[in-house]
Amino acid sequence: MRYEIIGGGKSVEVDFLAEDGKLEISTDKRRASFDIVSVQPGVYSVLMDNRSFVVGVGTRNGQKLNVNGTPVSLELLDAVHLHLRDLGWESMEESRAGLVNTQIPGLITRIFHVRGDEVSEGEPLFLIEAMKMENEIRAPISGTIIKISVQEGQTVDKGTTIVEIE
Amino acid sequence: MFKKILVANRGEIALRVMRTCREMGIETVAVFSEVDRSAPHVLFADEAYLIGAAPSSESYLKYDKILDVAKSSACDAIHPGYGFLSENTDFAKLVTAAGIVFIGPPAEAIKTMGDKTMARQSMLQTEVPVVPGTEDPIEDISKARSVAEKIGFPVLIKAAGGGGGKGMRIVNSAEEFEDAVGKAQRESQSAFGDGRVYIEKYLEEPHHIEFQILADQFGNIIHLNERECSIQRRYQKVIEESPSPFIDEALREKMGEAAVETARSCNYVGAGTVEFLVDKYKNFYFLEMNTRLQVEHPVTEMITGTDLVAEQILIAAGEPLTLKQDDVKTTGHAVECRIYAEDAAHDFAPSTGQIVLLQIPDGAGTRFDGAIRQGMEITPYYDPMLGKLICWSKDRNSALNRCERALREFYIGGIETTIQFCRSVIRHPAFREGSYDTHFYSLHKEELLAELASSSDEVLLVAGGTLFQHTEQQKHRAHHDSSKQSSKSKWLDSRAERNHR
Repeated sequence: MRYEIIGGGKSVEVDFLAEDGKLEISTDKRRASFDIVSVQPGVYSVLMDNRSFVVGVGTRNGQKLNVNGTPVSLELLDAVHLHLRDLGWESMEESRAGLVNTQIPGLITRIFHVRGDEVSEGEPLFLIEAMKMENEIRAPISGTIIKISVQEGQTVDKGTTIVEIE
Repeated sequence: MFKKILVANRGEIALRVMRTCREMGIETVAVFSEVDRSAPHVLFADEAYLIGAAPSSESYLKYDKILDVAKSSACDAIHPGYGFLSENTDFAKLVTAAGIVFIGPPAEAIKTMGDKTMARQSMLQTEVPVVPGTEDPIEDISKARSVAEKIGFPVLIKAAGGGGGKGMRIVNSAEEFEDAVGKAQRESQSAFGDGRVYIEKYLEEPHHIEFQILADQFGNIIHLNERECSIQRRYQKVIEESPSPFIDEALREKMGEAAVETARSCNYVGAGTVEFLVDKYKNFYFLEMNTRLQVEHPVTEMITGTDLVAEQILIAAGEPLTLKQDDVKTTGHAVECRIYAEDAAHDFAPSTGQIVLLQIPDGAGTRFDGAIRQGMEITPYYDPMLGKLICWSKDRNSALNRCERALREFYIGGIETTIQFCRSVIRHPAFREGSYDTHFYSLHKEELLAELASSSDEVLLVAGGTLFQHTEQQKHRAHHDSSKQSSKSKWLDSRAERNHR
C-alpha cells in the first residue's frame, strides 16, 4: 500500500506491507521491519530493525505523536487521499481561510472592529484572555469583516468562530 | 509548632507546601474552586473546602472566605504559596489580626518591596546599587539629556505605565535622544493612556541573577547563593540553574552581602528573593525583591540540601535560624525546567484540554514538582504552569546531561507543552557553554523553533509506521464493537490481537 508520510517540514513516500502481523516499510532509500507492541492505551513500543522507540499517540485521530520524547505532527495520506489531493481537493480548504476560530477557550475581552470594517493581514482583531494572559488574535487574510459572532465579555469554547473575513 | 496549616493556593505549589507539612506532622487544609474538586491538592490535603467559582477572583483571591475557612477549621497558620494572595498586604494584615500566623514577611515589608518606585527609593538609602536613572518622569528635555549623558549612553526610555517590554526604547547617542523621548511619550500615551516616561541606564548583555535569603524574627539573615534566571521568553523565566555559570566567587560574595542588606533594610522576615541585573562588565544592580517563595526555589534546595518551606514554617513559628552564613555549603549543580501548557511554536499560546497520556521522568537526581494526572483537564482559568523538572548532579555538564535525559522520558499527550522547547534550549551550544544572557531566546529564536519543527527521516518512519498500526487497530476495535453480539467476534478479536503483536 502506497502512503505518504507528511511531517517535520517534509514528506516521505512509503510502501506499507502488513503480513502475518508483521509490518514492513520501504522507501526509495531503505527497507525496515517493524515490531510494534501496545504497552498501554496510546503508547507503543516500536522496534524498527531492532532499534527501540517509545511512541505515544496523543490524540484520538492520531496526527500528534511523540517519538522518544520528540513531538511529531504527522499526516498519513493513503492512495485514495493522495489521488484526491492530486485532483485539487485541498483547494476546498482555501475558501475557509477567512474564518477566525479560537485556538483556546477563554474570555473575549476586546473586539477591535465592527461588521463591514476593512482589515489587512496581521491586523489585530480581538483579545482573548486565558490562563491570566491576554492573547491578541490577528487577521489571517486581508478583506472585509462580514460577520462577528460574539460580544465583548463573552466566554467561548475552543474552536468557536469569532470573525469572518471575506 | 503549628498543628494545622491552610494552604491558600492550588496546583504544584499547594502540593509542594503540603508535602513538607505532612513530613513535619502538621495537618493540611486545602481550599478549592468549583472546577478544582478533583485537583491534586484537594486529594492530598487532610481537609478541603469549596470557596467559590472557577475564576480566581471568585475563589483563590477571595481572602475573606479563605480566612473564614481558616478560622472555622481551627488552623493556626496560612501559607499563601506564590501568586494569588502571597504579596497582598491587606490579606497579610487581616490574617495576623485574626490571630492566625501568616507564613511570610510582615505586611510592611510586602508593601515596601511590592511597589517598584517605593522599593527603588528605599534601596537608594542603602549601599546596594540600583540601576542609574531618573527618579521622576521627564518634563524638561534638556535637563533629561544631561541626565542621560551623565549616566552614559546607551540609555533606556521606559514608560511609567508600561510593562512586559512595551513602551521601551534604547537610545544610543545624544543626537537621537530628543526624538526618541517624543516617540516614546506618544507611544505610551496611546498604549497605556499615560505619557510619562523615565530614563534608565541600558545594561548590555544583562543577566537576571537572584539570591535566596532567609531571615528569622531575631534579625539573623543569611543567603543561600544565587539562581541564574536569564533564560526567559515574554519576560517570564523558563529555565533556571545554580550556580550561575557567569559569576565568580568574589562577585557571589559581594552580591550575597547586598541581598542580605536589602532584606535588612525592609526588616524582612521569612524566605525571600532579591533579584539583580548583572551587565557584561559584571556590574550588578538591584532589580526587585520578591517577598514570597519563588517558583524556582527547588534549584536552591537541591544544591544546599535545605527544605525552604520547612524553613519558612520554622521561622513563622518563631524558631531562630539553625544555619549561619558559614554553614551554607553547596554541592553540585541543579537545573530547573518549567513545564508550561503552552505551544512554543505559536508564540507560547496557552494550550488547554485533557492530558490523555502522562509519563513523568524519574531516576537518580531527578525531581518533578507538579500537580498533574492522566485524564486531568487543563482549564483556561489558572496559570499554565503544569510543574517543574529539577535535575541535580555533581557538576554542570552532568546535570545538563541528566536534564536532557529526563526531558526525553517526559511525555504529556493531549496538550502542547514546553518540554521539547526546554530540550532544545538545553542542547543549544551557547547554553551548554554557559555563555548566555537574557537575550538568549530572542537571539536564538529561529534556530530553537526550527529544531522544534524538524524531524529526522527515521523519526518520520517510526511515527508513520506506528500511526498506521494504531489506525488499523482502531478500525478492528470499531469492527469488534459493532459485532459484539456475534458469537464469532471473540475469536476474531483474539486473532486480530495476535496479528498485531
